[in-house]
Amino acid sequence: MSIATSETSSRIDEADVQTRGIDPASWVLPSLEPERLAATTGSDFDSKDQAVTASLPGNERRIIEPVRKDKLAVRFPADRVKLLQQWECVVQKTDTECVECEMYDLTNETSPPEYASVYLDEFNLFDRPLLEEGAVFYWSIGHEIRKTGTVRRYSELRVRRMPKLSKLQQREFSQRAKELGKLFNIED
Amino acid sequence: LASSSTSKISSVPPAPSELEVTIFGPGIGECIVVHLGDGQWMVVDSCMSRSADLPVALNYLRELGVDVGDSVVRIVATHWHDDHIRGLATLLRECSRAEFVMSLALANQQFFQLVLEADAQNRLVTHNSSASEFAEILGILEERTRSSTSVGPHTFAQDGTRIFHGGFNGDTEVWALSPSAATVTNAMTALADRLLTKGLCRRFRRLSANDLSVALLVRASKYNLLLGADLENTSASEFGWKAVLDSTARPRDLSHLFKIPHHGSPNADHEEVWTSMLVAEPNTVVTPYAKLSDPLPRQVDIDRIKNRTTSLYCTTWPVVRKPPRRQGVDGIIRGATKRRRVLTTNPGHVRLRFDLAGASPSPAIELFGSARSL
Repeated sequence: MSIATSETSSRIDEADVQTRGIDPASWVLPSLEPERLAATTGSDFDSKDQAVTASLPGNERRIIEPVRKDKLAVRFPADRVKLLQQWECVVQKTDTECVECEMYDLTNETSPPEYASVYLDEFNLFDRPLLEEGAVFYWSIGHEIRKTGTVRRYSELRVRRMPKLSKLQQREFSQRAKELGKLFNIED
Repeated sequence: LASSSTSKISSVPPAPSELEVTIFGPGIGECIVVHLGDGQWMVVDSCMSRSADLPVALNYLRELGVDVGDSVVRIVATHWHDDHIRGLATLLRECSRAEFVMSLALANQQFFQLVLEADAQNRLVTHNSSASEFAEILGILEERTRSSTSVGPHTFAQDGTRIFHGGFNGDTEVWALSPSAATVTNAMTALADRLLTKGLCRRFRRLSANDLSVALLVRASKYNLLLGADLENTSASEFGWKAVLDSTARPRDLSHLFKIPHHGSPNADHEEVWTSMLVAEPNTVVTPYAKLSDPLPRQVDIDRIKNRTTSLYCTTWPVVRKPPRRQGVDGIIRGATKRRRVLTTNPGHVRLRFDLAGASPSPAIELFGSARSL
């Protein structure tokens, strides 16, 4: 996968942010003891079962859980990709610099097919040996929206892998080819 | 003289005494529709009409009001490259009376097996290849052969095979000029495996085995047409155009129209074809091929052909077009590609009608869509 270098920060979508259900204004730090302080800063201190009671206005007492590394007060959805364009590409030819291919638009089937010469550098190192005449790869372009709210340009070139035909399938095709040959009066 | 280009297909069908040849070439395909006279039609190869989502031949013949089920008598697959075969299975299914003609060089059980295997693999790909189209055609031929009502389901053509006789006054003949006997023998041995690509989308290799192509000669009473398919020259004299020129089986008539072979590439141009198989100043039509880094025909090819005849038409021009702009996508593509273009947007076709009964010495030539006189 290659990701374009230009990066733009984005305001966090309010709808994507989920709070823990506690009004931050009512938080009271339990104490400043070293262990508890470590917990609030996300250190390794195991604060399980270390919840304390705290005084709140109106003399109510509420159990306040300490902030823990594995349970953030603010959570974001996983990284996601907003896809703008996807092509199915069939390799015609490769050389040391580029892959020549036909591109068929999967996003909009009415778009005309295109020809492109794509730089080999854009491909995953492990995919490059698979790029031969007739190989198929998918090119997806869009925006990657990260957990942190960062938006990046996204471009992924992924070569399609192929399951091998089983021996049973090969035997079936061989049998059918023989039948066709006989039907068309072709000698083997 | 050629009439000016128009985007609308003239829906007036040819008279029974007219020999018509219409050549489509949208940039990534080729198809030739021939009226052999007396309402009998032949289709050579196939490509798709994007606007109608149909094979161009089917679309065209329906526009003319032709009953394809009854009137198309031959469908010829000159060879199996992607740019010559798209939509051929659909066409064959619709044209129930048509006899199917293909190269004898491909009548091979080993080859059939490879195609069936490739078809199974191609199902994983949205835009599958000529191998799948071929597999579908095999299925249709099998169905027809098993049916007792079928009419001549297939012919395997080679040099000297007469594939049609009839038309206006029963005077029209269509002859296969290739493949040569040596090509057929060669193909029967180990060629089949090398025809197909090895990758996921198994298709017929683009720049090999063009010597398996079926070039055709259409002989009518006064005019002849030489349809060159993708037949190329080879170093050995028993293959390609040299074998056609040396053949003792072919008719010796000179042709008035030449469909330039292999999109005008120099490796398909043989000097002797111009001198011994064509009249002086023949009408010539070239179809473009846009799937190369340097599309065919190149300027040098056009100049070479123009040195031999002043009458050269191209079915779609210009070949190179810029792709549409897409916001948010263009920047990334520009950085990742060396070159990029649309393969076909505004296809065209060239139509010539020869009057077999009248005294007119030259055909009526019409250009449609982006077809141009070069």
